[in-house]
Amino acid sequence: MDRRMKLILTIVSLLVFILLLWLAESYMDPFIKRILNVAAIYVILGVSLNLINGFTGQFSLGHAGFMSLGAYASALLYMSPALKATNFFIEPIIWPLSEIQIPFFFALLVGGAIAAVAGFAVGAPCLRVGGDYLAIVTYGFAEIIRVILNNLQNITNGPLGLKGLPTYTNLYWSWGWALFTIFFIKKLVDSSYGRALKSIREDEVAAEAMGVNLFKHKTLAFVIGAFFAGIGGGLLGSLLMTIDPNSFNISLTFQIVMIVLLGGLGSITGSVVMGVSIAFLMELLRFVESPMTIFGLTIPGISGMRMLIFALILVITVIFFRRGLFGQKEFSWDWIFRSKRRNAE
Amino acid sequence: MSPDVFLQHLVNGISLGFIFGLIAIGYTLVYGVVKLVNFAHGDVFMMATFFVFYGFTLFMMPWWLAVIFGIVVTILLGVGIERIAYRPLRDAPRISSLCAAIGMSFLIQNIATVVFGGRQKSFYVPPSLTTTFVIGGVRIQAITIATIVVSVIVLLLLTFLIKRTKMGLAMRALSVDFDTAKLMGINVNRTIAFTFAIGSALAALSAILWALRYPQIWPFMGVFPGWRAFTAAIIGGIGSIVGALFGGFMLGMVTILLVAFFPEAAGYRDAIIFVLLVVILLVKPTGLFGEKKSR
Amino acid sequence: MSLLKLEHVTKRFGGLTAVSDFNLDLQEGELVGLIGPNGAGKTTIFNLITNTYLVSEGKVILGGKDITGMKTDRITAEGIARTFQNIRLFGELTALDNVRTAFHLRLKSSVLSAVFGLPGYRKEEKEIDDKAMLLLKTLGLEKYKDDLAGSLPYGLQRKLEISRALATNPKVLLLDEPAAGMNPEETLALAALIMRIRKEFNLTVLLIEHDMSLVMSICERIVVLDHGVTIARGLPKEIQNNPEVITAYLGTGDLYA
Ligand SMILES: Nc1ncnc2c1ncn2[C@@H]1O[C@H](COP(=O)(O)OP(=O)(O)O)[C@@H](O)[C@H]1O
Ligand SMILES: [Mg+2]
Repeated sequence: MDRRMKLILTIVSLLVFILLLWLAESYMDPFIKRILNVAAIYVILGVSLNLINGFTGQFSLGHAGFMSLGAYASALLYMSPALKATNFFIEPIIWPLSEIQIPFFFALLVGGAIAAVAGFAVGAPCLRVGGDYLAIVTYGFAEIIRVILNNLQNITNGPLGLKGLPTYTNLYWSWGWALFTIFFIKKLVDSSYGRALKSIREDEVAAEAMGVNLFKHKTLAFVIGAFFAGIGGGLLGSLLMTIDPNSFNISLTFQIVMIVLLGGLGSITGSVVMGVSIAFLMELLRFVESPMTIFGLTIPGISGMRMLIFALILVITVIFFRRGLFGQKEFSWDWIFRSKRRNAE
Repeated sequence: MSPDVFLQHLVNGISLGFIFGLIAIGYTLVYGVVKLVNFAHGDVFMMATFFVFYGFTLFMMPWWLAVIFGIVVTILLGVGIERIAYRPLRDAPRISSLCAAIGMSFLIQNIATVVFGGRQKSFYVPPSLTTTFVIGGVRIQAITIATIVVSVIVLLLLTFLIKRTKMGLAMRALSVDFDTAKLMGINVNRTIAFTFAIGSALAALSAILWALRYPQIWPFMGVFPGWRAFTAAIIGGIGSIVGALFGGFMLGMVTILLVAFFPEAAGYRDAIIFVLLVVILLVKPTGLFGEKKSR
Repeated sequence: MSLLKLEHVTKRFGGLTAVSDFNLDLQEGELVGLIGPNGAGKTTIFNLITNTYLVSEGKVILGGKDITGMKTDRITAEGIARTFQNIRLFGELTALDNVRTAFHLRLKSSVLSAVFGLPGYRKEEKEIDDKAMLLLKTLGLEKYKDDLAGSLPYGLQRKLEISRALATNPKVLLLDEPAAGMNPEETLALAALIMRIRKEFNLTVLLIEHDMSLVMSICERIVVLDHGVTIARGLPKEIQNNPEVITAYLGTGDLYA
């Protein structure tokens, strides 16, 4: 199949996708729309974490931390001064945050940028050291962010959080960013920079001996990953309408790690498929936490059952299906048509 | 601040430092032998308190028996985790065992939430441990002294075990050069299982001491002590037992003295510990007692 | 003209002195062999030249510039490339991508220009593609360009490692036992290959090799190492008849193996 044909196919499917988005946004019921929004945000988070964990072979557990930075930073920028005043009734918010209001899009960008800067500050020391330090330090970082958000009363409103956030997030915003994330990271990993990242994953010693600057490239992946996590956090905040320091806890990070591992470390396709699947599964599995009746026997709902099931799936996948659903394979038009032809034979 | 009060804080800091030190040694031992950050260690710590809790309340054991029961079951749990989740991945890429460790941590927390419930439970503290002594004007709780005494005994036993027994020799051999030790006929599986057993026993002991000090237990209680202890292990130099103990002391002191002198900054103590960790990684990545990487 | 110079280079691992007071002066265009029994410290010398190991004492000088302690990737950019004794390819990348990765250090375009496919980057990428394909052709690997490096047969992996090293555009090429695991015919072909690329790419080569027939036939000078100490240096003929060298190898039986 030639390049032009593929381009046409891509454009056509994009148009169809936009049409579907429009239909969904206009006619779907709010419950489904909400899941679709969450799905898009999971895609953003999964794909960006995959850049760090799957393509570069480093292991970050800081996604929840970067998300909360993005969510808070953007919310504090897009909330109206009046809304901030009503939220901060214990201690007023500091100037100039009390006066500022900027459009959603720019607020998101600033949120992402702040997450990226934090990513650099946290990642740089560990990435220089290498080894497993990144995992443990970023894990701590996500928890520390919670501590700080709880204590900075006049900036974050402390444990009370921010309430009544305007719901800017809709399917256009969320899937728009999801598509951009996929585009950006796919192009990145297919570029010369991406080959450098993958070479680090394959063999650091050899990569360095072939002239790849380890620190620069690891930091690059980490900062880009943190940026998109910040964007995802901003989108999620505006979707949930309420954020507090506990909104972005370690179990959120676990969910994202699960998306990446189940989809396949090093497969964007895998992260997209699993991001959407997990968003729906989270809703479908709600029934296990509600009371049910089997053969006249009533079992009370057990809270936490959903996460337990996810945790089990995660552990089983890691031990027995190490490569996840897609391994390092990616969707491509060639792949689709090749398998079709094989079926026809 | 009067010298009495200062002394009191000092003793408190030492006792807390011992607890962090014991947890940190659990991390460091396992890391030394299998080069794995055992993310589930903090959760094994948490489970220990529940085992004691249920031994005491559900099985109506006398308190001392509940403690022994708790330690034994925790050891089984630690060894079981290694057997089920880590051993199959021993020859897999490092990132796989890291994922397994993270997955186990996630799994244990959620099992605990489902089985034990998410709410805090009160841990029984024998009345004899809550009595307060006044020694030369310094007020000290019995549990503080008990913690120090128990820790010192455990550390002496541990030193003997590692320096003087065949198992200890095997552990040291594996941590210096895994492949060579294997070639020399050391029973790798047994030694690693043993290492996890020791690490889990230390986790159980420190968890019980911890719960006697802060008698509220819940499924996520292991996260912060676990993380602080890991930080202690890194600060001391991962792989070094003395380092882990020293790191534990440092964090114990920082925690207690911060609360004592700057109560308004107490909320930031984990943030301060975090900054300390990042600074150590920047200036002395191998930790204070860690061996220099011969590069 | 002297291109790569090692002055009093020493490396200690704890109590073990793996390399002691090693001196070497590689002239431009030379092909020098570095031999010695197993554990003599040959690979360590490569690791010291590329600063994969930190030198304990001494200096490494490339074209008059002191590169001791420079970061490994910078040293590669300065013009030293290597292969590894125990092949270290990027196993899950294709043969072509292995070679293309080694061109990355000369890339000028920014990340954003790469992501958004700006003309500047597209031009550079096209050049990388062409040069990488040319290199694969030179070493007869073009058929395997889309195969994963880890799945190639052993001999081809060795060749691929050489082409990856060449892609960094080196002045000095360090080859660590390139003939290991090859049969006599393959070794002969490898000798021809080394001579060819040396001329084609204007290389100065330092070669570690156990196969004496290879070393004796293509090296212009030989340095012999034993227990980190230089026990002989000279023309192949001189080395062959040097009693000390023969003793060093006698215990191992390597010399005529
Ligand atoms: N990273 C290291 N740490 C400790 N000792 C090492 C290290 N690398 C090499 N050595 C030791 O240095 C000596 C020389 O090794 P090497 O240079 O690999 O020998 P050769 O390549 O000549 O066979 C050996 O005794 C080896 O055990
Ligand atoms: Mg060697």
